[in-house]
Amino acid sequence: MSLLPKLIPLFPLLGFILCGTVGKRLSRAAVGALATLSVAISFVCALLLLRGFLMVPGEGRIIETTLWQWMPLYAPGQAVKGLDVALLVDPLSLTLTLIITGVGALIHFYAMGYMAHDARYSRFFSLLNLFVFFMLLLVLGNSFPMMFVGWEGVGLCSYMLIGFWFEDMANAAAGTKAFIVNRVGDFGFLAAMLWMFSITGSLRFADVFANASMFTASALVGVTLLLFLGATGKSAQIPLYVWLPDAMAGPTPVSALIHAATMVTAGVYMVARCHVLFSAAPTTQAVVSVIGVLTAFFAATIAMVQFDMKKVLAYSTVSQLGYMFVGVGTGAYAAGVFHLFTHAFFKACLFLGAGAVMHGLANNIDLRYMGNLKKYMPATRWTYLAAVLAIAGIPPLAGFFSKDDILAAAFDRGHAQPLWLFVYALGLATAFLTALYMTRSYLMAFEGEERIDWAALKAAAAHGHGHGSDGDAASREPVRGEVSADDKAHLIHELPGMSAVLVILAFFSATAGFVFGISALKPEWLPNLSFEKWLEPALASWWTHGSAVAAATEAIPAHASNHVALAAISAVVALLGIASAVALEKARKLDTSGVPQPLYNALFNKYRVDELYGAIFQTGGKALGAWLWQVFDARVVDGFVNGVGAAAKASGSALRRWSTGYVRSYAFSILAGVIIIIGYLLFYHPVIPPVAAALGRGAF
Amino acid sequence: MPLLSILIFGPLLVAAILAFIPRHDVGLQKAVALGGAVALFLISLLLFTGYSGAGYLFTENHAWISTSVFTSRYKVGVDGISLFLVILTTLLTPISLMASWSSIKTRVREYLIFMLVLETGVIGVFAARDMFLFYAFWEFQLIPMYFLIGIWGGANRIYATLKFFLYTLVGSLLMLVAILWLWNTAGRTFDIDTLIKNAGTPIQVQTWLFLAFALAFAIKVPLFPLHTWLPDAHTEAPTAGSVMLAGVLLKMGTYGFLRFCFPLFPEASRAFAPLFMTLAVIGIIYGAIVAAVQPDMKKLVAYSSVSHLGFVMLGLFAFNAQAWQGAVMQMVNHGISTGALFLLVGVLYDQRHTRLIREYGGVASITPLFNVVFLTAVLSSAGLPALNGFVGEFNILLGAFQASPGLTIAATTGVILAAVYLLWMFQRVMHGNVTHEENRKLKDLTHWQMAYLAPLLFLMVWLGVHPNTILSRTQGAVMATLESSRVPGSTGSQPALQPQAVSFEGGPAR
Repeated sequence: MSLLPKLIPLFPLLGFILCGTVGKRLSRAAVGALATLSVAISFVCALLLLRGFLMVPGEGRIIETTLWQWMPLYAPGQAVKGLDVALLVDPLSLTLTLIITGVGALIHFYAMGYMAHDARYSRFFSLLNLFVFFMLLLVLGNSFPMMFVGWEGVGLCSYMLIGFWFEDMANAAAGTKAFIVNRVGDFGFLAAMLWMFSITGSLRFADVFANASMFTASALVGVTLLLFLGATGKSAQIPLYVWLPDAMAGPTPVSALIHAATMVTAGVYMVARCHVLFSAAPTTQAVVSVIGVLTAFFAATIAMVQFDMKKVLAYSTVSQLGYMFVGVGTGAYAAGVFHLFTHAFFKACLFLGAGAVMHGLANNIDLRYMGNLKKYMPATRWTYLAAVLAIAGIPPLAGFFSKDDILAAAFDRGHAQPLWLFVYALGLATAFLTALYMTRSYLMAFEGEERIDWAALKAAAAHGHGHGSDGDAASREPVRGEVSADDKAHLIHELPGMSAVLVILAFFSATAGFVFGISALKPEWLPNLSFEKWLEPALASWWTHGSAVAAATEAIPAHASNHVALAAISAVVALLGIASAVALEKARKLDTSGVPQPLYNALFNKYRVDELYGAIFQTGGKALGAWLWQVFDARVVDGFVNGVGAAAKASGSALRRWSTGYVRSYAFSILAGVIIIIGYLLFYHPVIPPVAAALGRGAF
Repeated sequence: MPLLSILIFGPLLVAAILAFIPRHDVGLQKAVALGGAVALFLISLLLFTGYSGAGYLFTENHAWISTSVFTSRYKVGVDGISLFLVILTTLLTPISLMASWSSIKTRVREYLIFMLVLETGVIGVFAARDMFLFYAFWEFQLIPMYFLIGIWGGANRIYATLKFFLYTLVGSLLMLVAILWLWNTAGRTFDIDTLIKNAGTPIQVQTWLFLAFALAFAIKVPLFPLHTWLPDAHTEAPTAGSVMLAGVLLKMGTYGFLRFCFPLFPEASRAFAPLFMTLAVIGIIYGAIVAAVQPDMKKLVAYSSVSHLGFVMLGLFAFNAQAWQGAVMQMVNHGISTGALFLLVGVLYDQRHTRLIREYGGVASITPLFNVVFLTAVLSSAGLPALNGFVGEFNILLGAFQASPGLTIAATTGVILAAVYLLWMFQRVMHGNVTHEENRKLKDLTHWQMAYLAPLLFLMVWLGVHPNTILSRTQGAVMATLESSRVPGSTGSQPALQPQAVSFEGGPAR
């Protein structure tokens, strides 16, 4: 059992090394198969671990295994101990591992078709494998620094994959932006580690959490807020969400794997992992929940009016991540992780669906140039629809159960703390918007009138497939000329391999919530399969270490009947959202989602937050740097130095004779000076001490 | 076998051999110089394999100068701290020679000789156990560096060399005065161990002596605001000169603090710690911000050194084992990653004869291998975990936080800024479309270039995942230095900066 955890990250690492070194010499099929298999084998290892876990009782479901000592730690007043390269498998990290390797293997397989014609095929797969490796380190690390290795490692892979088509500077800039914004969050993570180490003398999860009582109340709030700053970077929450929409510049499988299903959920995982600390810091919990719900709502409003299909999905991801933070911020860690789990399926399905559309439409991703795609892409259409209904929260699909768990938890906590009633209300409003904008994207892409740019498609087909960059359809000419029905069917087609992946993901989008969700209602006829029960060994200490607030939350009786009512409300709101979208389509107002001016402009321009950040940090930073360099360095510091030099030079004509411009004469003069001074001091040494002593006395 | 003497005088011997090779036989001169440098590197590995435990090893102690007025002994030895700095020097010297193989075309023999003489001087500084001997080497290495920049440098080299020389000399002379004072009060000996044992100097005098030493070292580091010689020196220096300058010469400053200032003047060092930590943090942020706006790649890397060495200084003045381990590690790391960055900038410069960022763009699509190597070096410099830079920075920050949480948090913003200036530069040089047609002719890294870059790349990864290769060997020396830098009877002037009570198995007991 202790070997399996080590094997899980090993295979993707091997895949990375092989694809990266000999990949260019192998056939494309071999590279793709190698990369996919390496992740699939890890998935099998994770399944074996799961089987092992299910055969033992809850307390036995924790494995910690050390590989080697990374570096020594010298905590004040403690013996030297090692910070190890070590892995921790418990139900929480295993859940994430299963998602990463399972969904990851599917997306690798999908990418074999999607990227088939790319010039840097082996580079793509080696980076994708490297990402999986770091992502596994992130969730399997047994200490904060180990998690941080994965944390920054996935950021690096994200950076390289966003800018994968770096010939287009916009893609490269999006990658750089992602890395730098993430680093702002990483600063928080790093600072939190420093603080925790100074308190507990360790950074191993088990040590830190066991010593949670050593934290003062303000240290707890400080540390958790810093950690949460890290989470807002990686998981794209206010104020650091700005990189994620731009990250869609990467190939679509990357968007699906990294920027939807796995990496962006790392912040949620981190909060759940540190539940002991967060539960004891109610102030932070309030901040996490409010930031989460504000992000959810704010991103949903932007998503309503975007025309770039991937951007809609990107803002939807930001929004759904907000829900997860509401879950973990409220203290309903299992609900937050449950939503992470279901979201991985339906969001990967949506992105890969968008990828299939792009593949079919020669990289067009503009919803205004789609319509009626159901005629040409039936598999994509049905799977996309299933995922839309899942994310909208239509029972009994997956999103319904997990989202409802979160909203119910917020509502429950609202009894004791009215703040959470606000969180609940805004969360419910977001659910309406989610159903609306997701349905809008479905209707605009797959239903309604055909607005496809056939001429551009024909031209692209003539030039062969390529993924130079995501098309900018807005600048294209409108539809011209007549294309026959046969031609149309030929121009837009689906790849069977890609469609197969979509079907699998759609299946889980539909069903992944049902088993676990229905258990939460605790019917007598079913064993308790709830996520809460499964995660209990990892989250159990939440009740034992809890603060007064935790105890207060515990004291609130959870009414199952109450939850059924809440679930009914959620379902009605989701249906209303879908109905609104359909009504808007009938009214031909789907483009703007019926949003009036000037609000529409604000939403369409994403509230101009990017421009604001740019003005402050880019323009301001450059001006500051230029000032420090050209004024402070050149005039103040160097002015002083040059002034001293000039003064010395002017002080005597004898010196001027040495200023001949010949290097050797300068060197000689300086050397001679050194020798003279040394000689002088050596042979007249009694002079020095009294002088220096006098200087010393004078100063004190 | 007198390993250290071989390493110190070996380069001089090779240089002497070069003098006998006919002027026109440039190929043989290069081969002899490189062969000698590689052999010396291999010999220095014997130090690594032979080093165990704590304390000074490979010590040699011979009579040297003995006059009626003063005696100085040739006493050399290395502990865990100097060990790696010596090896870094012997590693970077052959790498520098390989990098300048075809780019130096004039006065090749003199160039090779100066590079070797420089190696002698630097190793001497790190190995000297006698104050006078140390000072002699300290001044000695200035001369080859002066000529390397002055003769083979860029257009503005005279200004840069003078600035470099004057800055350094001002500090050095004050240090000499302080050395002589110590010599006189400690019973007229230059023996460092004896000086440290007798270091009961009163605090008022300590203050002045500390400042004299500290000025010399702070200029060398360079510590803000004494840094302005560095960007000029780097911009004008040939690639190999920059590699040696950033790689090992700057470390003489941080090494000096650790080896001399702290054990000799423990009270004064602690009294000034808040000042130096503050300057270090200003340097971290200032260096990074100014680096970000540099149009010249080499100047950018030079300013990044100000930032990186700021981390080392922050760690040193934290006075605890964690931070010092990190600081020593970071000295080595900076030599590796910044050395590699200068080499890579040199690869571009040799082909295009410009270092301006705007002259490039889209290079990644032309030179894929260069792309990977450059990115690795950039990430190592930016402190990405699992590469070497992170380990040093992380240990420094962990330790410094215990001394000054506020300053350390401020320093931590340096990790954001490092990403800004490095990745932004990387993006503008490597990404986008090719905007200058000349760049289409850029050649990817050759086998020769990979031969000298590969060791650095290997070390970036290896030291990132297994830093104990260094940390386990520096631990004993760090603990011993911490012990000898302890303030006797806790003066209590800086309670926050008292040495941490570290219990350590196998080390000197507190």
